[in-house]
Amino acid sequence: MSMPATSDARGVTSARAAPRRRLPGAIWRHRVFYLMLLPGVLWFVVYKYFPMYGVIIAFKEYNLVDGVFASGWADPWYKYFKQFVESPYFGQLLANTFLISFYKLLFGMAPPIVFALLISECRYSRYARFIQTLSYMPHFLSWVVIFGILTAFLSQSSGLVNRYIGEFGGDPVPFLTSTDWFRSILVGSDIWKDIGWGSIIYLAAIAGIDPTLYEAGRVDGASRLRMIWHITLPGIRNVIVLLMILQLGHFLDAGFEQIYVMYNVQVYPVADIIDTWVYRVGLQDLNFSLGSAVGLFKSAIGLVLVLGSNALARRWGGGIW
Amino acid sequence: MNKKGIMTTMLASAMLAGALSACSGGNANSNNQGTPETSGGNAAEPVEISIMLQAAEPLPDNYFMIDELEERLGVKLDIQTYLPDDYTSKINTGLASDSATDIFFLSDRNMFNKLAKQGVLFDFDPYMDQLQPTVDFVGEDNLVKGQAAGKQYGIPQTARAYQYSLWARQDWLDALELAAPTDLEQFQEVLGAFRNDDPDGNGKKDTYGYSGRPNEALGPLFGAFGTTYPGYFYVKDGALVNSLYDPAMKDALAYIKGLFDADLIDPEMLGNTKLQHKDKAFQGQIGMLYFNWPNIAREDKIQEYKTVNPDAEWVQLDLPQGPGGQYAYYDDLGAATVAAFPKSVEKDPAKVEKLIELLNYVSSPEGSQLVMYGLEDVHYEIKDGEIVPVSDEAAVQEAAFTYLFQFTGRDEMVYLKSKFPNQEAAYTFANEMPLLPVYNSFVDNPEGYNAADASRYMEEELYKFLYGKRSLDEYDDFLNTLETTFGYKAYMDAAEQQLTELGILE
Amino acid sequence: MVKSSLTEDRVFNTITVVLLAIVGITAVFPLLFVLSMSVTPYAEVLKNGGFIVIPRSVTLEGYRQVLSDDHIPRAFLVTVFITVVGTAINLLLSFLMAYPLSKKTLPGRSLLLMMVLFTMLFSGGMIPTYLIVKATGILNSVWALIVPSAISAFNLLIMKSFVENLPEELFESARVDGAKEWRILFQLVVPLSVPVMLTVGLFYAVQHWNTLLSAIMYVNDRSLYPLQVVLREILVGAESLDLVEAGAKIPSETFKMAAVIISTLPMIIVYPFIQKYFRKGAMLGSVKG
Repeated sequence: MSMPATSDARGVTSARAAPRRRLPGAIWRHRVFYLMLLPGVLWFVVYKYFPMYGVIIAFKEYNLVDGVFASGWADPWYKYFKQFVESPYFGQLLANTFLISFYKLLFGMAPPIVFALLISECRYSRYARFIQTLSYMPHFLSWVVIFGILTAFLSQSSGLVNRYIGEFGGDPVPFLTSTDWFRSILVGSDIWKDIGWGSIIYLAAIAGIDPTLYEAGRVDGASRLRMIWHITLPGIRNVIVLLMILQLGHFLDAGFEQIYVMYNVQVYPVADIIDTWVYRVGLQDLNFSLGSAVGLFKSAIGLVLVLGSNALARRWGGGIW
Repeated sequence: MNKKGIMTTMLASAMLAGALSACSGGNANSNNQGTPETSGGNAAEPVEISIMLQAAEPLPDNYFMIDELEERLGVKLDIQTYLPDDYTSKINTGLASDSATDIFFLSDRNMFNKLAKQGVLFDFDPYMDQLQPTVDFVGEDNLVKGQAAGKQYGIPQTARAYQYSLWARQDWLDALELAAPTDLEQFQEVLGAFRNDDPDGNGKKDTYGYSGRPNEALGPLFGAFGTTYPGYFYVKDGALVNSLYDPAMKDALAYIKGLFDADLIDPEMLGNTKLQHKDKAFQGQIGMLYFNWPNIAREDKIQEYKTVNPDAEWVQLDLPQGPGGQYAYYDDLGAATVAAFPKSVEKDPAKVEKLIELLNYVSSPEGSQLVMYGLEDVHYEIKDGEIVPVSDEAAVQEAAFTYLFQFTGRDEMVYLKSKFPNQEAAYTFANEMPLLPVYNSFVDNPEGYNAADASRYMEEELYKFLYGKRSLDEYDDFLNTLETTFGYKAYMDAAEQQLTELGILE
Repeated sequence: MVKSSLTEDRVFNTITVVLLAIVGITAVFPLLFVLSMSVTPYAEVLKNGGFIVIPRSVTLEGYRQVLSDDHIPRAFLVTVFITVVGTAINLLLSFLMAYPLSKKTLPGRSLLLMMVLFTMLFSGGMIPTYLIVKATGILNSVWALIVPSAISAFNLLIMKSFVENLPEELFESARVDGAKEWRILFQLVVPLSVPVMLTVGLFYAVQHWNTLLSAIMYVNDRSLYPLQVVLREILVGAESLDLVEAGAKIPSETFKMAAVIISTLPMIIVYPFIQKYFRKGAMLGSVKG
């Protein structure tokens, strides 16, 4: 087993020259790996791929009795895509979804990384660990509870912040009901909730960096900032890229649960996203086809973003495959 | 962990998995085993009936009512409870996979229509004779609420009492030496005093006149003009009117806008999606509230606001009288919670018989007594011909869940009186609120009309008018956009046609 | 020279400590708030302007209600079961996939990775998934809470990316020694992957701990309900009905918050125990040294 395995690398490169003869051999040499993959692949096929026939609901007049296959086709087949695109709010929904997602990505990517670096660089390891344990607590509170806390802080009439503003003679700020503030509150509370939780994966990555690199750096008299820049960050680059790509796949999600809990009529123009719209429309009309069509639309865009960013990442030597 | 350890753990959990799924696999299918052979053939075997309920709280374990009904009717009950949000998904997946419960409840007319159209609901028409006791209980003229396309697809429950009314701080009125407002002018004066004249005497301008949930609180104000929230159909002077097109709408908007302009209303009213207004009111920031009595008149709630401020005293107020009369809110005549069966139970006549028997039983004097109060001498006693709860607190607690079994409704006022002897004034007052009858639930949305988009537009523009972000002069432009961009014209046409066909205008 | 680097170091340390403190304080606040709410009668909270950090007129009534509740203690056990068993299954299956997929020479690797990734983006929807769960005979059993989420594509890809970073020479030398792949997997790769196992294990565990929708969809039997379902009923139940059922219990805020604390605490307590594996160089250091 050991000898053929070491020759794999060569075997694959030369396989390009004569694919027909070499590929079966390569597969056979890797048979034990396929055996390992078997249970997982089977699971994916049964629980993920088999139900995917459901996406055709997007093109049908789905009827509960007839089921997916027997239900008639929508007329025209793109009827539900059309309903989505022709909604007077389509442009606004797309813009809101895009902006909220974009801000969350833009401002949310760095804080957990910086926090992980601070934790790993902190000389007082007990203190760092204590802080880290505290930091991931908000992740476990549901948005309903978080919203209760936000209200206690930010309510215009009774919130703590506005009471202080009032003491200093300022006018109360309608944080939760104003279109000027709502998105900032959304993005801010999202980042705050998950900063500690998000840092865990980076800490795990930092733990995997070869410590001899730091020793070498220390011998060379490199400062800590230099070591972060030249050793730690490159060491976790793969993880950063991976998370970035995966997040792009869900770019059009933008966080339904959070927005659903926090929004109200007054902030619809800045807060209504694709998912909240589908929820409202689907709820009133029992419309599975519409939900499926919009889901397909979102997924297709996610796929383009993932493939694009992955191709880009591969140029820099990262990427998922 | 070494290899051996991992393997043992795996093996153990795999075996456990096998064992558990083996014993639960059987249960999973038990819902739809209702073939005539298994349930009807053997008389000793009780018929299994599964029921799905919309509930805010789960039933306690081994609830006495289940045993009681099982024994009295010779059935086996499987009761499931879900929150309203999940309930719809459960019904849909159940119907799609032929595993829906034998009885479920629909409170949304739109969904009821859709399901009826798709042919998944049981048609009660051939069984109406057998259902006579139920019909007598819920009322013959109520039945229309359970009809779609002329067929009886659901059995409507009796209507619940209306719970909302105006509530105000009596101690503030007293401090400001004001009488309860009777007309719109006084109403505004009182709100103004609550806002500007420091009713709590703390020297700060930190109080507001009025609050509530955005979709309810303006009801009494629209009502004073003889209309209600935008988009509702009612009959006025013998003609069918949509509130949007009622000339009174503009007057109402102008009046309400005046209240907003004068900064008398909770600035965050539109954000009151849960019970934020209750908290603000109890904290002494709000002088008047449109609210439901269980949240303010029950002993635990009274104690709550008295703890914050022992002087606080919340009282119910009469509606202000306006040019269009007095209405607290609207009453959608077609809306009701209806009990429905899946069409698939048709295949099992023995089960249908039992289901009908169950509905009839909870509508009978004996059965309705049981599902309203529980068991005599356990949960209630009869004193001087009146039903009163027993003194044992635990028993009263237990009986608190009987409402879940009132499948066809209840005799509401009698029920409330026995459960809440101390709140009688509050719920009687609320139940006597005059409501504007509207017909929206009888309207089936026309193809291509997106109700969610239209209602968002209506709501948004309504508040733009009220907050002065859009001039009322543009009201006709607003209607125009609604009719064209949002397809409201098609909806209006469909509604008028359907309502005329139903014979609402006579 | 030495002196300046010392000052630099001191400045760096101070900045680190201060920044960490800020994050720590903002993070601990909500929990403190919930904790205080859980022991203070709601009327007292309202009296204090709806906001409280230091408890007043402390009452343990909320906790008494939680512990004497019919549903919470049992739901707690269900959740512990699905978390422990579910995470074990997750880790095993994920690892069995992650290791082969980390082999860049594996024929069809890209295709398989695409296949995994694809499931993150596209799904068949609620009803078809329900039908497959029903068809595999696990509906209304505790396995309906575990099996349909046996692998998370996200976690799998993370795992694969970590395993990929392990130095290839280690495997080579093991193979030269004649070790079989299964032995390499369990005796070399697994111990080397402790941090990622713990990370991904934590992700999986939390995911199970928060099991909500699959329970609502796939389970009818109340005795199999996990904690989050019961918790949600307590938190939003009374507010989700338009007409309040006059006779229904409206859960007190104290009770709600006590339920939040009880259901969150175990996950918070677990973390410090696995934290030590996240120290810089913890992984390779232990193997190489």
